[in-house]
Amino acid sequence: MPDRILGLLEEIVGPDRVSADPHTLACYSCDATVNPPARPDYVVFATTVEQIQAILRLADAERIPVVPAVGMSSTGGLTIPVRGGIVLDLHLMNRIVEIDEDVGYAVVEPGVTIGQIDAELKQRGYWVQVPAGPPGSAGLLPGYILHGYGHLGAKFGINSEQITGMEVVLPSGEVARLGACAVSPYWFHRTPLPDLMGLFLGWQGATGIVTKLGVNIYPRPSFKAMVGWGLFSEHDDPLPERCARFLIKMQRADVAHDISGHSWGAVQIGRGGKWPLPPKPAEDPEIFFSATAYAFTEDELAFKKRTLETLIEDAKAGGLPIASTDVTDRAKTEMPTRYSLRYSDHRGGGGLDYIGSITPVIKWPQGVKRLTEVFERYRFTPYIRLSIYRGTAQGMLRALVPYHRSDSADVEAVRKMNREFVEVLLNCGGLIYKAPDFACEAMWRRGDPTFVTLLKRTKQMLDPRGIMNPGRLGL
Amino acid sequence: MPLQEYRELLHLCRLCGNRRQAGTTYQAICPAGERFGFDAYYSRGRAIIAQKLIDGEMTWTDPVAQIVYRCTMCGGCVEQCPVEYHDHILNVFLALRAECLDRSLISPAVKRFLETLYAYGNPWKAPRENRGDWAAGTAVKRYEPADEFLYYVGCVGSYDPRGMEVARAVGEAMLAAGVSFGILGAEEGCDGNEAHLLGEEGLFEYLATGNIQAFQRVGVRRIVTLSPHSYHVMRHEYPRLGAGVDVSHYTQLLRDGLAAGRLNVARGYPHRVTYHDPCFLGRRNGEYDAPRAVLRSIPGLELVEMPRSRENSFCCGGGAGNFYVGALDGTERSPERIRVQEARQTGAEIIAVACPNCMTMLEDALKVEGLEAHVAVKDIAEIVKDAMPEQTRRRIEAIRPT
Repeated sequence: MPDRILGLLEEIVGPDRVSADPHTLACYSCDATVNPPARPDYVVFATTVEQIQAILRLADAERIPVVPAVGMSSTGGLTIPVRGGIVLDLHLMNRIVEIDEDVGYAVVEPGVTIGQIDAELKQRGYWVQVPAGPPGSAGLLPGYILHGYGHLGAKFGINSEQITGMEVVLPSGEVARLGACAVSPYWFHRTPLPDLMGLFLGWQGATGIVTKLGVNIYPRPSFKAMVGWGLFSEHDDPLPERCARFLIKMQRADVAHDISGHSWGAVQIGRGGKWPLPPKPAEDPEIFFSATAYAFTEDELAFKKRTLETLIEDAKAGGLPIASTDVTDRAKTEMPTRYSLRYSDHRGGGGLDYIGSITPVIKWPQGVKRLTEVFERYRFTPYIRLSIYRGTAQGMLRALVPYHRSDSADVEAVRKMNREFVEVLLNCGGLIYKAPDFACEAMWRRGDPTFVTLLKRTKQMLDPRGIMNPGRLGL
Repeated sequence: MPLQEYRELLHLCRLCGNRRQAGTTYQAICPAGERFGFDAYYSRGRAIIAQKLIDGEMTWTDPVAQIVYRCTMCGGCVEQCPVEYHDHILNVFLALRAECLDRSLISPAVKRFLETLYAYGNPWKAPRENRGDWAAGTAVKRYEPADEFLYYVGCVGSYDPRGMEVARAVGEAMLAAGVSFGILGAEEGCDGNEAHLLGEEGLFEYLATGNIQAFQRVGVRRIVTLSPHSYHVMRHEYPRLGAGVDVSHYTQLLRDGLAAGRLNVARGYPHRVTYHDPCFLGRRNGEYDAPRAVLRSIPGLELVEMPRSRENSFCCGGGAGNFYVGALDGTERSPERIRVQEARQTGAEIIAVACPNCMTMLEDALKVEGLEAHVAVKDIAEIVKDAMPEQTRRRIEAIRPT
């Protein structure tokens, strides 16, 4: 019997742009995380906003779940269609719609990749906050609307802070423009109108499909310097509190574009270390930090580098357990990079899962200590990443686990670890970003009940039939 | 290695998005992915399919075979993969194809191609004794033990009318460069590369062994090939069957001839030219520079690069048997049509190629795209010939047999 929905989808996008073939569908059923696979019923390519409108109207009328996807490099299970339905693959919508150098923004479609926009802006002498975790072939837009972090976070904050406007298709099929572009021909800022973009930021595709995104662009500095230092444990604290206060001091000096740390294990894995890693030599730091500064002139760069080095020297002189480390090799690394994925070769099993949080820096010592304990209890190398963001003294604290996808013991261990990581980070006052369903539920259990009610009302208002990426956000 | 044995190695795939775009230019690089769009056609999707087939979570059916064969084995995904899985990607693809063949899950076009190759020794159903016909009227002679090189021409150069023109141009350019060579003529057989890449290992070995025996009969030590496909298979697959020969591509000999001053191109070639890297010369064998060195040696020739070039080049769509079976043809998103539009945007009048398969793929695409009045496809050897002074041409013609 002919598939009626398939026929209707073919009418919208053409027969070559939709598939219900089980082999094709299987490729959209999983990612590198331990989230259980789930197969969609259809995969559809949209190339125009009008097609997306028609698809959502159809899905809404037929109560078919819709899951947007772009680069298929997502982690966190965010594009796994847990309740089947349509995976709406947007990677062919890859136009850079506009770059306004005078006003300072770019407008991109969902399929524009991190590398694509960076290459275009580089030619023009500009740059944009580049999401630091994913490869350059991942979409820019998902990393922004999911509150991902970028490699310039100490200067520019969380990616979503750089959003200046958006166009979104609602589950009803209506198209809305938000931010200045709702009224003005320019996509220059979120204010001063009521800011409705929050209805679609951090919602994991559960409220609509963002079809265009305006983002800040900035003149691109030509000069770059990095300084590195290692932190040593003190009284069994991998990150002593006075070291965390030093990080805050460095952030407040406001000269670095990025201040990030990697646990010893993360550094070894990045250098190609194979599983199982040997025990950490006592003379090695517990956490390797680096601060990256960019400048438009050599003088400016020299000043910034000297400022950072002086801070480190003063801290050492003050008795902090830190030592300068060589970051020459990392200073040469360009962002974006496709080499952000070397952990796959560490364990040999291609799996990666993580729980990431935004957490006050002053709580990092507690977080790092407890996360390390979880890793060690499950006999995994502690792989912890930290990055300070602009603004209040907060930043990313995340635990990553390279694991073997075909090893059921690994998979089960990672599932348990993830739940423990969530509790550790919430106990530090942190918030989970790109949160899997169980992590959202954990947050809501601790949260203001009215906040959760408001979330549910908002979801109900925008998506009354619950078609948009159902099974997400613990709602 | 049978597909089953890749079970663990498949887990090296990180299931990331790198396979879709070139790592330094971030432009699309997978011809099958561009043509069909679905993730199944990229290496990530193929890894998932292979894993599920091995694990019994997916059944072997015709749609699987369609996906498996819609790939040119151009190596674009290998170039982009940042993890150790890159060493295994193409072997997984090959193992999938071999399994499809074992299960008789091949398209009618692939089946016809392989049967024809087996029955006739070439895809044209042409007599073997016609293999050397392209050389008629030229000074290219039969191989003799004193010759330094055997000029291996292959099926396209032997039977395809446009390929024969290219074979002649290469032969005459090598003569002008003073290369010592001869051909096997009717003793030459199909190189077997496409049979190998379509998963028909038995047929490949049959064809390759025939060639190796012919090489050994006449004492061949060095081979120069017209086609990058022959170059590839003779370098990488013939040795395991006992061939102890050194293999070059003709552009390497022309480069050496120009560098040594043996090849005169003083007449020049006053045209804007862009070079299309053949996947089996470039990405699969790392030879990006010899063809460019030849072109840069020619006075008046302005070489412009397409946005996708060298290791980030975009396949013409003709690799791994698709030149014959056309599994990626049919729409404006077919790789060859995308590629000629890209070449056109450089403002080039000429697309230079170093592969007879690319020649035909791109010439046909120019016709479909209506670009024939603006751009032409020329083999590098044809450009070299055009750039030779009259006296050099006369010298070659003078040694032609009457």
